[in-house]
Amino acid sequence: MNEEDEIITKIPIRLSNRLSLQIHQFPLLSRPLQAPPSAEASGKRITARIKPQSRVLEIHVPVDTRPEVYNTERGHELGKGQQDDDREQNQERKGKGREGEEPRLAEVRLRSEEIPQRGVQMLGIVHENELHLHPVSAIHQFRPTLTYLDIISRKSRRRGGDDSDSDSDDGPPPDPDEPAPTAAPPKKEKKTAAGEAKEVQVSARRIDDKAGNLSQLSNARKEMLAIIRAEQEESWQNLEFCGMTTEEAGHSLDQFFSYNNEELHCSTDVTTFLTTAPKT
Amino acid sequence: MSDNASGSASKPKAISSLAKRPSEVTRQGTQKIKFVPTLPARRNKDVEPTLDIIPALSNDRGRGRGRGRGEGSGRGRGGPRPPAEMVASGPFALGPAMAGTSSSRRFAQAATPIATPSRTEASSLGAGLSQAAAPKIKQESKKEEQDEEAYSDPDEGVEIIDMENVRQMDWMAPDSLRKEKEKRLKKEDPDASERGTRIMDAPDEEDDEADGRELETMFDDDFGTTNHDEANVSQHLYLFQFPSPFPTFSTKGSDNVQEETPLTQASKKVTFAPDVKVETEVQPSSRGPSVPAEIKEELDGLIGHLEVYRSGARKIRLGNGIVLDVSPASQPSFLEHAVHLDMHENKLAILGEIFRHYLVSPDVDALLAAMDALDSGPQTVLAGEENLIRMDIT
Repeated sequence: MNEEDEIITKIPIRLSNRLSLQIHQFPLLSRPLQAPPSAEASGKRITARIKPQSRVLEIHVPVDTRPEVYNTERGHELGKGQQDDDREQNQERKGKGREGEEPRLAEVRLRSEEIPQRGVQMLGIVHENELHLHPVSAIHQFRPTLTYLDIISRKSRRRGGDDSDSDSDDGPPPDPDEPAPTAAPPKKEKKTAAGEAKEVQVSARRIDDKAGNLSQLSNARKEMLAIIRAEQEESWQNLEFCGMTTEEAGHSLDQFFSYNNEELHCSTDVTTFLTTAPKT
Repeated sequence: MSDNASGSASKPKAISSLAKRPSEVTRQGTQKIKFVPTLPARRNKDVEPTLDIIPALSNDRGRGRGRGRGEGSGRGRGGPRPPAEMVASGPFALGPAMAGTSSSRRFAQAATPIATPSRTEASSLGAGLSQAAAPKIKQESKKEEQDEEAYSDPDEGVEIIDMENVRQMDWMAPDSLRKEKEKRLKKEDPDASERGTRIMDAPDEEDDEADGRELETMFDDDFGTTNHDEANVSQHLYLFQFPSPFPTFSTKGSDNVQEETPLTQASKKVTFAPDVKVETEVQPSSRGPSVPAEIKEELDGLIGHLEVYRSGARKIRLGNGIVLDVSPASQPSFLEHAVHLDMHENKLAILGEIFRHYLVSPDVDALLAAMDALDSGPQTVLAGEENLIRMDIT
């Protein structure tokens, strides 16, 4: 940078941290997040819900259900699957509208994953010729969940009757390094030839091996399973989704800015960037 | 051609390919006539009779001829075609591969407006479409006005669809890929006052020229070519990635207490002195150094300046001699929302879509100078030693 470089403008920077700010990324979406006009006309809105402890959010976006762009029969099949999936996870929405009508898949569920931050993310807005900064507390990426497909495929697999591994309650399949579960016979139950299928819940239990290091592996696995279990058992809390143009959003935006004119004192130095060990 | 005239007897000087060429000489020893397509990429009917005139060729030439003629009429497919062929017209004339680029060049007619796809009686495809476009993310709006194509009036039963404007046909219509613009209009450098208001967007223009046009999402030549007005600019959300740890700030007057507050956990980069929620005139020392109730303290105030240089560089100058460079980071091509999650009121409020990403890194010169000062700082200079040079034993 040569010394002849002169400063053209200099704007003050202000910091505030009143809000709990998050960044939501939608990697598979390149259009604004909006309900299609046909859905809005019929009263559907974007809704959201959260599991606070597990830090998982879901955003439900209504889908365009016009017959030109929506396959109604498939919508009914998938809707049924989604209803079963909800019922299984005890998340069924109570009493939504007409009971007699078959459910259909009328929304896309975007589920979030929290992304670890690199460095410190700050949101900046230039307001009245000043740059206002605000730290970001979390970054979430949203992708559609298709768990209703799992239910549907599970049913069709059971109906087909082949010996595939349908999951029992415990999530991940057995570790290939560890000895195969000995409980082979109780693993499957086929439906009786005449009529209805009997579904039996089975759990595969593994006999303890002599090798001692197995316990460490299963400890880590137990933790993972515990996390998964905790997340599944936590119930959703509904959130009110306020779009960009709503009043609540405007109110939040007002809270974003820094209003104090006082100069804050900085107590660290440039060198802390190098001397402080980076946090992973 | 003359070199190979004698056939296999002479060795050709340069072998361009090791594949055996079909021999240049017929069995009678006369020179075979080489087929050279004379009329590339023309679709006139005159092409076909011209090719027919070429005298007897061998079989493999026939295949080539068909291919040549196929290329001559602009189609990507091979195979011989009957000479009495209709001249193709309409948007799909050039085959599927050319559909995307055809609109701009082949159909420019004099000053006829585009036949909008509102003539839906012509085709059932467009019957249910809502004719309302889905909005785009708040990117720079493309300069589509200058590229709108004029089409000839459509025949009955034919609906003209400009492939670039498919997006406007319906909410669910797909996005067309953007074409590469050959050149952008050069904007002359505006005066500094106007540049001052476009602080974050302006100096990228110099980078734009250098980086070419491939990644339009990364550097958008928005200075002067888009319709940003003042109101718009003030609502753009920028995401800055600062190096960790973010410098700690505290309000003045309370830094006598707990200065070495340890840096808190990774998610909260800004640590604070004891809680002083300051209004403008209140003396911070009036509230004593009370124990901080929680880790996250309220912070509100001025921390530094953003300097914009003539060369386009931007620096952030905070207190305590901290200088940081600001450079554009890679821009995501997807949607990003800045969101306020209010758990007390169970509210999720969207503040807006993020416009640009910037990467902030320490200015290296300042950093090295500070490191030097840090290393050599604690040493005191004894009397009489000022002129001596210290040996660096680190």
